[in-house]
Amino acid sequence: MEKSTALSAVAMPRGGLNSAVYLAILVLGAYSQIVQGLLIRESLVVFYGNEVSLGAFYGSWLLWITLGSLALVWWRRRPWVRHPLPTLRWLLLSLPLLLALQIVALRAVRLLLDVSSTQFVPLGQLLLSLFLDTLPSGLAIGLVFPLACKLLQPEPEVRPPAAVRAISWLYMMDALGALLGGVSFTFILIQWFGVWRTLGVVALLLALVVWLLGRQAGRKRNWVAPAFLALAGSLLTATPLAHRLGTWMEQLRFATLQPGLELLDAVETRYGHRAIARYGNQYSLVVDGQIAATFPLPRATAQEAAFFYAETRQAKRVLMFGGLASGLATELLRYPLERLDLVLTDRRAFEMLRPWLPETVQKSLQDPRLHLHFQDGRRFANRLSDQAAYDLVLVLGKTPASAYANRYFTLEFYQRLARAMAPGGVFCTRVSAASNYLGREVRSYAGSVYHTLRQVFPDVALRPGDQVTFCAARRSGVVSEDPDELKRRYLALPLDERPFPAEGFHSLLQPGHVAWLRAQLEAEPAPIDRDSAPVTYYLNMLLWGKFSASWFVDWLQGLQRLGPWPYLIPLGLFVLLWMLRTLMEATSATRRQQQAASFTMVVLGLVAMAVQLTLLFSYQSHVGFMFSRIALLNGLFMTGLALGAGLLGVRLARSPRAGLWLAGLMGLMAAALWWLPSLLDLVARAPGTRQELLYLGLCLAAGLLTGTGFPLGVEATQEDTGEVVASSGLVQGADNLGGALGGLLTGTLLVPLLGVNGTSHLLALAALSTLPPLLLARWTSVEIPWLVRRGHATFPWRRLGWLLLWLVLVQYGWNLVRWAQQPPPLVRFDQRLLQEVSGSHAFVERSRPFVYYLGADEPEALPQRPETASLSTLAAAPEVRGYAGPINLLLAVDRNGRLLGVHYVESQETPSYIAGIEQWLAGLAGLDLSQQGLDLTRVDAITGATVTSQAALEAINRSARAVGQTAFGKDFAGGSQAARPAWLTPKFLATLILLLAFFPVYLSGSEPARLAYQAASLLVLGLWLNTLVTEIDLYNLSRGHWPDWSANPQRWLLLGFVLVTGLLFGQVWCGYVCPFGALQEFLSRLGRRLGLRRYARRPVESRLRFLKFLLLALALPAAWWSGESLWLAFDPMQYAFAPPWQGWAAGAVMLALGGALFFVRFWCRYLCPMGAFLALSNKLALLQRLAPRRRFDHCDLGVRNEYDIDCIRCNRCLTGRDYGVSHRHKVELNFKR
Amino acid sequence: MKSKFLHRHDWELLLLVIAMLVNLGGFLTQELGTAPREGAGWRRVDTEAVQRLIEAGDLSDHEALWYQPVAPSGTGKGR
Repeated sequence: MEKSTALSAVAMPRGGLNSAVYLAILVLGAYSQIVQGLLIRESLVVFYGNEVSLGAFYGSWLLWITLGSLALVWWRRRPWVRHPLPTLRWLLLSLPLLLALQIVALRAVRLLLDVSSTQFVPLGQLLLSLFLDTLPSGLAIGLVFPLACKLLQPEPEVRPPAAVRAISWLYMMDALGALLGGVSFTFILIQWFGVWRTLGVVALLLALVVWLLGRQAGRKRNWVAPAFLALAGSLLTATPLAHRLGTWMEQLRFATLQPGLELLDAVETRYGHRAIARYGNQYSLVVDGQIAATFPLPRATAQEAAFFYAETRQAKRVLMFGGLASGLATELLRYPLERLDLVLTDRRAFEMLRPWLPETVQKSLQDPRLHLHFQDGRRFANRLSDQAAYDLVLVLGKTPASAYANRYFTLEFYQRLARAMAPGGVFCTRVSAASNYLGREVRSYAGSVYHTLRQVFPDVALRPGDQVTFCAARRSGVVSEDPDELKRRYLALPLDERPFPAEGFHSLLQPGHVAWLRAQLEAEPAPIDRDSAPVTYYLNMLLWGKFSASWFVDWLQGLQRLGPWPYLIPLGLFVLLWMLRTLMEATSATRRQQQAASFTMVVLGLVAMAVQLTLLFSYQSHVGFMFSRIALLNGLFMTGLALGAGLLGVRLARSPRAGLWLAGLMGLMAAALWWLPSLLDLVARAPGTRQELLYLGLCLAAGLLTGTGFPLGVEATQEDTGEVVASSGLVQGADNLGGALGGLLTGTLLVPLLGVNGTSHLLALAALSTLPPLLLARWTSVEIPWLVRRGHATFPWRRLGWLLLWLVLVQYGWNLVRWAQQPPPLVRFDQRLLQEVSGSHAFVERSRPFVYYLGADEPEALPQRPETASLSTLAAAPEVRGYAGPINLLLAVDRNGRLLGVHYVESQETPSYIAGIEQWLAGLAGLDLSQQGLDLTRVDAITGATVTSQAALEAINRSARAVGQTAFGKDFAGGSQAARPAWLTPKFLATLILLLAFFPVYLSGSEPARLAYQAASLLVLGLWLNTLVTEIDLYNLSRGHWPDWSANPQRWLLLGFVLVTGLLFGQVWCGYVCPFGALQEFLSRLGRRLGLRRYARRPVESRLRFLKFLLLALALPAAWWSGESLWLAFDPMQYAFAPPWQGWAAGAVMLALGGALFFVRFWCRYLCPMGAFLALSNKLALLQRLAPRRRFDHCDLGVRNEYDIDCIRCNRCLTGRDYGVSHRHKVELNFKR
Repeated sequence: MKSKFLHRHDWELLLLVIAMLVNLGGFLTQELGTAPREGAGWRRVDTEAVQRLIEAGDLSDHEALWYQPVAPSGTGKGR
């Protein structure tokens, strides 16, 4: 998909040259579809039919086209752009060669990536290889379209009134070319010409176009290069060269897919690539690069036939989907059947395979009981009569590894077959697994099939092995897992010969093994596989990742659990922040409209590509032969795009309310996308050909709807821009960038993780997200003074600042959703751990009123005479919190109240503070809780972690109390020494007084009072209590971890103070209260007296002050993602008041304090992340007017505005002394708004 | 920034900031590298315990030591 930059200004057609240009665009449109069709088919083969390659392809393809367009905008002044004809000709001449190279590269990709046969190409390498392979053609097409448009454009660059009509012609040519290319490729070229002859045809057409362009431009000897190209094209088209080249390329590709096998024959069917190969006496059927069946394997086939037939009650009518090559159909004909219907998808593949089939199989084709049906399996099933009454249905040759194959494992398929089966009929299928271990991914895979089957066939018998076989029936007692039963049925059959030994059933169905498999599959909460929500995309991605050792499998599973939120959060935040920025910076109406329209164009491109891919995926799920129809589907979509733009969009764009029309269109699109899943459900129920036609119509309609929006967006972005090439190039770039993003996201993430339904709903919300910006842009007079006042920019990097804010908020949003998905706390434990903590050997779990375990040495003693009771502190005392939240400990007490053992499970406490907690807990074992609980008078705290120690002890006390009553009816830990309430401690009282004193001191504006206050803060909060508000608090609060109010009210006080004063006055904590800031202030004053004070020039100084925001934006998300608050522990204020310092910590403290001697508040101004966060409150400062009015001309640190984000509210400017104003340099920095 | 705007005091501030950043980097590398975390790091195998099991006969140090040859039986033909 690409959009022509026909939106640039063009002149009325001027004679032959313009006609040649229109023809060039027509051919280019066709060429583009052919390229896409060829490369997608190639990638499906080398990547084993994995449709993820679709998303990777489209994402890369559009990205390169975007870059090509943008490069042209960048180079628009260059001579070769201003006079584009020679460049255009050379580009067109190079296209066939580029395509040939791309095909060769894709066929050899496994060789280039050094991926061995049967190995899955790692997903990262799959993306990279497609990214690189699409570069040549994508970049070339990105350059060619704007060049062609430039060729039609007269000098100077103005927009004549007839430009709109000419734009329509360009769209039409492009659309017509796309349609012609799609249709001709699908029905003529690839079927009758093959790959290389098609390339020859393309070369001939392009040669003609290049010659015409040169001739019309009056160029001499313009025929030479086209003649060479035409010659090459003729050689490919009209000579056996194409056949030889095709054979050689086929061998090359096959050698990378299945080296060592001798390729006998290959054919491309509508469903994919089929090949037959040989190794010694073994033949293999290779489907899309993977071995689907190997034959002859007489013993294995005899075993399978015996097994499946024995599962039935002497079946008479059998239906099989595939199974000819393996010989199973032939083997089944030995049994007393009346009829065997064998469904083969493609006659061409059968004809290719037939000569190589074993003699027995070839003979069986003459058996009158055997009926071959060459049809898509799903279509065949849909046409089955309910009176078909099959006794046995086998679907064995499929693996749900692609959307195409997944159609044979869905609920709808099973339901359809069930209706065509006899009441006692049996359905059998199988999936790859492992004989004695099911990993998480394989278990999900097999579990999905199992649970889906049971929705239709309640009785499912399992047969373990390297492939798990399922035999299911609606009636109970039909299928069996009992080897003796199957043996009895088998021996009762009237057979002349039994190639399978009856005792073999015992090795197929070992009871323990079957029971183990059933337990594994029952335990797995696997999703039900449906046509509208195929699980294969997701599960196959997991398996693919596992088999190819891709690192992001765990990440993918985590992402799947988060639903649509990872995509909605960035989008929603972007819209909100854009609106906030627009209002704060009082953006002009024109600029507002351009930005809103540009954003809409990106979303439109994203939605358009995403819809197209979603339809392709849905088509593959329901119809199945996307492999052969891809170019047609693309071509129709492109046609719809151009028709929508050329017919409707251009007309609406002439209206003065183009922006409103665009908003209305996006609303309509959102509604259509929301209802798309319902529409697809209806289409799914339509019969065969009608279904396919409906899909074609949907592609056209989707293109129409999205195409209508493009001229509207262009109209909105082009106002007041002088350079039309620039603006049209940018519009195309925005559109294609959105398309690239849409392609990549949809194919690799959205459809696999959300399914078609979820993806459609998400796209609807994405379309809706464009409405607020468009409507805000429409109401040009909207201005909120309260926000405008706060729009002052302190730093030169406005965009970077907003980008950082967006990035941090997005990551916070993602983490919030991730944390919400985290499993509940661990309160259940295994026997080994319980034994280790309690010493008992037998346990009984109880769950009321909380989860706990009764233990005893002998099982007979339970539950009446328990000797021990074990539980998690989170089960009985979740309200107890340490420094950063609850602490999970596993403890055990005996019936006499003795603490038997305590084991640390998990917590959010800072790891370095609780490094020795396990040893500390081990020391508690043996303490008597019968009379009195534990406290710090009985037990020493962990060094440096008093709060944590207190919380742990309190949690143990409460848990022991609870379990003592519940398990033994006794009171334990009842009499711990009553500690003084925390708010009556000197620590709390001193803090309270200090904070209350802040208000009169601040509001007075007195410098001596401020200095005295800072000295008091330094003494009390710093040197005495070592209590500061730091980045660790920020992290804990962001995680929802807050200290226990009753145990630590001082921290509540401090945090509340920071919050309230920040809202009311701004960053006053830094200016007045922070003890580390106070220390630096005093050092700075000392430095001035010693003559050490320095002032850097404003450009350097102001840029460096931005560093602290950067540090915050890096460190805070790192802590969120890792769960490790140590990422924020580098601030020297966290340990400045707890000497001795060692190593790097000492260096940080010394540098910070030493720096303060030379530069005012060195750490605060340039590097403090906490200060950066608190600086945001300067944009609020709701009651700032109550504070003393600052005198900005007396600020030596560059603050110039009421809502300057970097004012730490030190109020030094009030007294007019000691700011070194005379040191301020004359150079001022002017920032462009 | 062009060098003509950088005076001596500018350089001093820049160097101080760079020194601090290097120090912070060293601090983080040290702390995060040694942060105790249950389950992190390489798995340590108690080879002595494994050896004790082998010596006690509870673990085999030979491949296929436990497999016994199976006497061939009839193919079941005709049964």
